[in-house]
Amino acid sequence: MTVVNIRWFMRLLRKRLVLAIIFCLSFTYFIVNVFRIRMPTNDDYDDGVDIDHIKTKLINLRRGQTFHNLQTANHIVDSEKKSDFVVDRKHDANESQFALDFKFDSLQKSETCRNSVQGKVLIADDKGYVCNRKDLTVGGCCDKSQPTTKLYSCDTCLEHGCCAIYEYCISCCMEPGKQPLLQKIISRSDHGAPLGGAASVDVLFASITDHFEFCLAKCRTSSQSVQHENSYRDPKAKHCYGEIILNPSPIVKTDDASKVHSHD
Amino acid sequence: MEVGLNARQIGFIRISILIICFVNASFGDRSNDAICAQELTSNHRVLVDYNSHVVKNEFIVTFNHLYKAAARKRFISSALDRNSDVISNWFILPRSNPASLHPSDFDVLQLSTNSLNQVVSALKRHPNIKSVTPQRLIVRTLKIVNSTQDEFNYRKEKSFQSWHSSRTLKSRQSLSWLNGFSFSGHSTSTTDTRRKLLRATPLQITAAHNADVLWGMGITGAGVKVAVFDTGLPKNHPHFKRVKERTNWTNEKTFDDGLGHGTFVSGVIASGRECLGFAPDAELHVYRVFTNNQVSYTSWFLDAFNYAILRRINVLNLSIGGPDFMDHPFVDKVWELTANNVIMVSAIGNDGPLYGTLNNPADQLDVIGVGGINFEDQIARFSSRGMTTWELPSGYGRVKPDIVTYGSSVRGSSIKGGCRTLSGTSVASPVVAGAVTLLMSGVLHMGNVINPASMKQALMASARRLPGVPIFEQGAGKLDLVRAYQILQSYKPQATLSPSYLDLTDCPYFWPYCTQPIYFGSMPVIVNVTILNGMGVTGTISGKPQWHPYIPQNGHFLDIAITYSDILWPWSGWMAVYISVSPEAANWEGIAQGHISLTVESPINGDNPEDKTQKSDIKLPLKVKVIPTPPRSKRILWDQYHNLRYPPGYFPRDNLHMKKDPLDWNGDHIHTNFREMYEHLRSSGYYVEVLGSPYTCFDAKQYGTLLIVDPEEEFFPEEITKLKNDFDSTGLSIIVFADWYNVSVMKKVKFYDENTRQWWSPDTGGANIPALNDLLSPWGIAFGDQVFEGEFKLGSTHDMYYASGSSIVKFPKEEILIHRDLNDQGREVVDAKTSKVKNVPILGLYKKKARIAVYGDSNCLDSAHIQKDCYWMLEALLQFTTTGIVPQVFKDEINQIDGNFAHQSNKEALPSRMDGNQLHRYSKVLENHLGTPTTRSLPSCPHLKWSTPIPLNESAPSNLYKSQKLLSINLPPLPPPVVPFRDQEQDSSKWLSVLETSSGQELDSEDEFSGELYEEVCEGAENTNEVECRWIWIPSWCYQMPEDQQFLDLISVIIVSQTLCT
Repeated sequence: MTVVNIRWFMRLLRKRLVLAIIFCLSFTYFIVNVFRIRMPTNDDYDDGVDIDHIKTKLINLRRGQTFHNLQTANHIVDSEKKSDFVVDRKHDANESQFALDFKFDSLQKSETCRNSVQGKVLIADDKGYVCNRKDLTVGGCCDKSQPTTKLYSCDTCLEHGCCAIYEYCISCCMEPGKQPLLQKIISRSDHGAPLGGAASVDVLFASITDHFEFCLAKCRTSSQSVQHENSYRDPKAKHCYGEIILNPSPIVKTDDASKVHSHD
Repeated sequence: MEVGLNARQIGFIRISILIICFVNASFGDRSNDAICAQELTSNHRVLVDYNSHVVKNEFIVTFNHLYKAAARKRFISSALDRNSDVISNWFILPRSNPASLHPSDFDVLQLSTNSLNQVVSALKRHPNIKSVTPQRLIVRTLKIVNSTQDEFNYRKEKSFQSWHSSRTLKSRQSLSWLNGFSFSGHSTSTTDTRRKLLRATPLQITAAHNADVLWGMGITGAGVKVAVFDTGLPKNHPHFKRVKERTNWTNEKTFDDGLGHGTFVSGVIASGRECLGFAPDAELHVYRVFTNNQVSYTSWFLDAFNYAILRRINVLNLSIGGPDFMDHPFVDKVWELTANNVIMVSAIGNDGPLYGTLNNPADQLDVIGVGGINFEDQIARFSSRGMTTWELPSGYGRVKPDIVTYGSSVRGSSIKGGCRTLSGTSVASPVVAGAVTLLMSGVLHMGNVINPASMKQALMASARRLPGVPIFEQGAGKLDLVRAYQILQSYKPQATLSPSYLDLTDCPYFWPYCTQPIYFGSMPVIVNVTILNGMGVTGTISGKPQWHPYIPQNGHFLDIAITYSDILWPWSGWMAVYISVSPEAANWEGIAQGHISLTVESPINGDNPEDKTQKSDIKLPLKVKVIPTPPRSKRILWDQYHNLRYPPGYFPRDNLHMKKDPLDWNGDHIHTNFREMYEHLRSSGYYVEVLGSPYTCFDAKQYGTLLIVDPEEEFFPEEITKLKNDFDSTGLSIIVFADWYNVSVMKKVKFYDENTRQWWSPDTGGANIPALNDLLSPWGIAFGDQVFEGEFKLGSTHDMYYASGSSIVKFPKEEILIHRDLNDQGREVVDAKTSKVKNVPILGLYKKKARIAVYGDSNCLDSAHIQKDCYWMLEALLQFTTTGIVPQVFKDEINQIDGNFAHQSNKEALPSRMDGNQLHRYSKVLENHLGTPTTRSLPSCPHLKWSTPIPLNESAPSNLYKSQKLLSINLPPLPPPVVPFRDQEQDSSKWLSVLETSSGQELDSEDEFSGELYEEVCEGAENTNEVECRWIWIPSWCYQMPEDQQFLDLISVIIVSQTLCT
């Protein structure tokens, strides 16, 4: 069987077609190999969003930049996030007039808004309105003609900037008059304390692009809102747009203490 | 080489398996009956069972050389022609694969004849035929045997260090068994050859779920952001193509995974090399929230979760869990994520097989809670199960897990590249998360129709139910990726229920409902149904759910009450169905049916005020078995109301020796950790009902015995009066199983909880003895505050173990009291000294108008840490309480003890409540009034509002279960699978059945033996619904370059077939 085979081979090998095929195969082999070597490098996907990158971004951001600059920086960041998966994501891309535009803008029917998405009953939009979920327009804005829709509403919010209800916290935070306060918070976090006690909070605020996003993020409960980890500092006002001024020192202390503790 | 070309060589491949098996068997212990026993780890063994038999009338005819099919047929026919008188019929089994075009040296021949030998020898005589051998079929089964050591070893592996550890066991943990099953860790030199036998470990978890079908359609996870909250991931790990971002939220300054847990989990989701993950092209976001010591805090999670919302993560895997479902900041945050369209997938926990062991956040309505199974489709032993315990004591738990998938011995990425094998629900969770990511990337065009609810609905509706497994272990069943894709593609926003029907007669799926029929006068049976609303993050039930009894099917014999969430948020809600029997059916026996209908509505964004809501109608079929009310003596009432557990408070374990599990957290319900006790009572003919309200809320005339086991709660004064009254006037008997109580021990078992960063001291002992003494004081019965432990015998045959219990210090003199010699465990814990105490009274029997039985320890009924059960004793005590006759086993004791009755009903002070205890924080009875705990006012008894029935004159089919169907547009056909040599037309039905017939696992094991790839291709036979499948050999050069010596061979083949690869 083998003898037959080999003889048959030699005859075949002399034919041009065979040579051509050998060439083709070698070529394929070459291509495949080249491709294989390239595979493992994931550098081309690594947009460098490792925390180092964020940190650099953060430092640049803080170096002499005011809150206003923060707003304008958002074009860059927004174009970076390209995914049209969630509907309100699309709005991001369309949005050209940005958040500090607090004037009563032209009420167009086709107006689109980003909003707070999550609400059980209420929802807040990026114009500072808070309304009933069912009063949302197609564009995701609060319907201003509804009597229950309110602008810059601070319902359920206490003096020190903490509210019982997330959506009111956002709406309250969106009020232009709050801007100096927010600016102060941003610049304070520059120096690490008290808000930026945790590096994690820095990461969060580093990726924030405008006033609305700042309010969305700031009003959420975070490491700053809890004590003993599993309970709220103040269950009745856990959403804060302002600094948590009430007894801020124990937080930092327990935090540090425990971190030391868990090291040993 | 050429032999390999001919694909349908089943005989060849299988025989090679057999050979390896015999080789192994000779090393193993039982070579005789062809069983290969293989050590996996010290405590797991794989049993490979073979049996082979000859396929009747089929022969493999081997030729001397390679011939074309036509030539082979000619040879055979010429050989058989001479015997045409004995052969009625013969034919060559067709091989319809591309290889059949090439010359081959064998054929499979099917003969119909009575004189086989004659024919075979005739064939053999033909000059071109080398041999004729009977075709053999080999059946192989493989099992992983869990030894009983299992749980013990596993618990040992948990991250609890010592009693005074700064870290509590019950913090949130990562849920895998890090060192459990790694083959490499235990390998011997023979492992390499042996590993090939492990059909139980498919080479690729993705293949076990047919992910290749979706990959073949170009769906690979692209465009979806998946986040892994775990121990991090090493930089530039070779398995991952798209690590978009790594962030660290811990106090360790690294992004890298020091444990391997995070790498493994990420690998199962998104690895693109070696051990494949489901969605290699998904954008992977790695959040490091666990330190290398597995430390984590809620506050780290909160910030990390906020960032995940900001980054608009689509799918988030949490292979973590803990028992603290009352960690409100955490639970609220998980809701918030779901509400922001993040699909949360989480591991149900590794605390099985005990019931009542579900972990948070997997036990939340909005989260996809994943349980683990092995490759034999059995629930993995470690997988947590049982109902949720949030709703106790007044309600009933929800069904969890939602879905199960492979979680035992799954291969995934290891830290330094390469693969490893792990087990745990930590592994099962990313299987689902990966599948969800993959599914989502296939339906991105559907926009926000795909949301946490619709994804969960699709997974659950497509899941395959495992036969013989209760719903509280498997949920909807096993993940079916391809079916989920089909359903998702045609998904229309709607609301659904889980479970989707209630056939309370269906055993064991509807355990425990199917174990005890209902009757007039019983406590209502409660089913807690989960509503999933795919229409919007928030919704409501419009109007009220309606009860429609089916008149022809006795539906009117049922009384139904329904309570439900006011607002369904986020994407989900609950509906509790209370089922009772109407008075007319007090003596009726039969099956009653009907259905509950409800409408869910959600707001939609829009300017048109007319069209502001979407609606979805749901129907919940109901089938219940009704029996006449059993006699009073057979009815037992289980006191659930006075059980308190972790969370919220620190209620210490009932067995002080179990240092690894310091908390009493399983719910203490007859369907959680007292499940075995319940099963025993049922099998001895007792009917057990659960009291979720104070003693003032039940009719004592209905019940023979009230069973109070390990109560931590205080008692209302009204309850104490009522119980005494029930005992005296109605003859209600009482059985009490107490537990340990000692203030010094309680102070000793306090510990620093690293998770909440505070000291935890218990507010009661194992049981609340001072409260219990208040309850029993009218009869002159009291327990003491010494803690005892020890082994002893009761009767002549029963071994007993007293695991941290109290003794009876006050008991009416004339009654029966049983003593034993025990160890003083309280002293052992406090002073670390052991001492024996003689004649400790542990069991008392009291007989007046009714009976009371008290025993000092509950451990022998509680499956959580049971060492020796005493169900027999419970039965004996029930016999005593219901009949008044003292069982023989106790009578023997009386005589024995009478002589040295040392322990008098003494006057020593009874145990008092610990100063400064915080029980009022968690108690339903106490409240803090100006610094002193005072009794609250007695709550009113629950009052159910029965639904007004709307009878229907219709009937339901006898079997309510059909694979849950989601409303949809017609199912679109799946594109044909990408398999080589596809020449037939495909339609969807064909393809569906293909998926049912091909397991995918077979492929892997065979693949290893031959070193070649095989693909199963199926096609429908004409005019029937059957599908024919066959294996097609894919030449190795189609996917890898040949080695040098094969090169020439290869060329010749290519020339002959005139093609490279198809």
